Amino acid sequence: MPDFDTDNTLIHELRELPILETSRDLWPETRRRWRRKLWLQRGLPPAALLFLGLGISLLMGPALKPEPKQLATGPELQQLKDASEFLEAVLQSPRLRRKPVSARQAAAIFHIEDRVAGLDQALNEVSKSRSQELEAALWAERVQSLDKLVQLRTNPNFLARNNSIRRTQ
Amino acid sequence: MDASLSLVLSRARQGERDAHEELFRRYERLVYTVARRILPSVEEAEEVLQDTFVELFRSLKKLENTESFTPWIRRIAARKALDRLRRLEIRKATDIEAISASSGDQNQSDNGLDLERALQRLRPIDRAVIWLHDVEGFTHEEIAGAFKKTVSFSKSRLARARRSIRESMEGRADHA
Repeated sequence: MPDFDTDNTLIHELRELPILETSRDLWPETRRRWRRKLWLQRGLPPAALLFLGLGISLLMGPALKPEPKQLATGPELQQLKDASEFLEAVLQSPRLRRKPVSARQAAAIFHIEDRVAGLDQALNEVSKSRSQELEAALWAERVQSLDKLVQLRTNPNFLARNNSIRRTQ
Repeated sequence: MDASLSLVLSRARQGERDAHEELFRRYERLVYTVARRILPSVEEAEEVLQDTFVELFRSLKKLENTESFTPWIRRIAARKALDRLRRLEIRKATDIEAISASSGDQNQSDNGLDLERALQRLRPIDRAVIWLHDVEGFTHEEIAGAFKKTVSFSKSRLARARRSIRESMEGRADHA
């Protein structure tokens, strides 16, 4: 055992302590955080307003319908990831976060956020298995879920028009 | 600096996503270690890890000397951790977590394990001060400035932290 009587020995031993490892893969979260920052830096509000009015599903069109075999190409997968990141940035914008929601909206939001968390977990797993088709289907569902969250926060009539969300509450 | 890192940095500066991920994979453990040594919880260290890389990607173009990349990223991580620690309400009770949860202990020598434990037993601010000063090379002036305290504060915390570690280690030796 080293003699810690001198400061130099202690400093040396501190510097020799082993490197630590995270218990989970933090790259997906870091990447999302970085993308959000980029979106916000590049002037989110005007761009977001364009999307909010239309709903991203209209812009993404068929890519959002989970047809795994058609979604399996790299560019389409990337398109879904970009859409997902964009919607997350929209949801993080102060304008949207400050918007009050009703109790019913809050319950629906909670339900969908729960689903998104489940999808993130599944995506984490599937990225290890390298199944691009399954990954695309999960990303598509994630985009749809985030789109619903945006609509819930911006469109007062959205909940009334979407029976599927009401039923799952 | 190895040529491949130079190439990755150059690609990352141009905004290539793969290069960002490669930098992350290469340096995540280093950044996490700096953060985890300074902060009292795994969750806080994970937040700092993410914030550090976001800051890194944002300011890559400002890095003039790529030779100093490793010290630079260490410095960002330490500063982020310090900011976070300052904002945290430090719990009065000493936060001792299971050592096995914080690192791969199986490969550590006995001494490494004990020093790790002694470090974990320090009060959070004392631990931050000794790590910042003795490992990351912060000056007392920098530490004092970060905590908005005097230089004497930094010096006394450092002395106390070193003393506590010695006492912990001596206590172990007595029991051996």
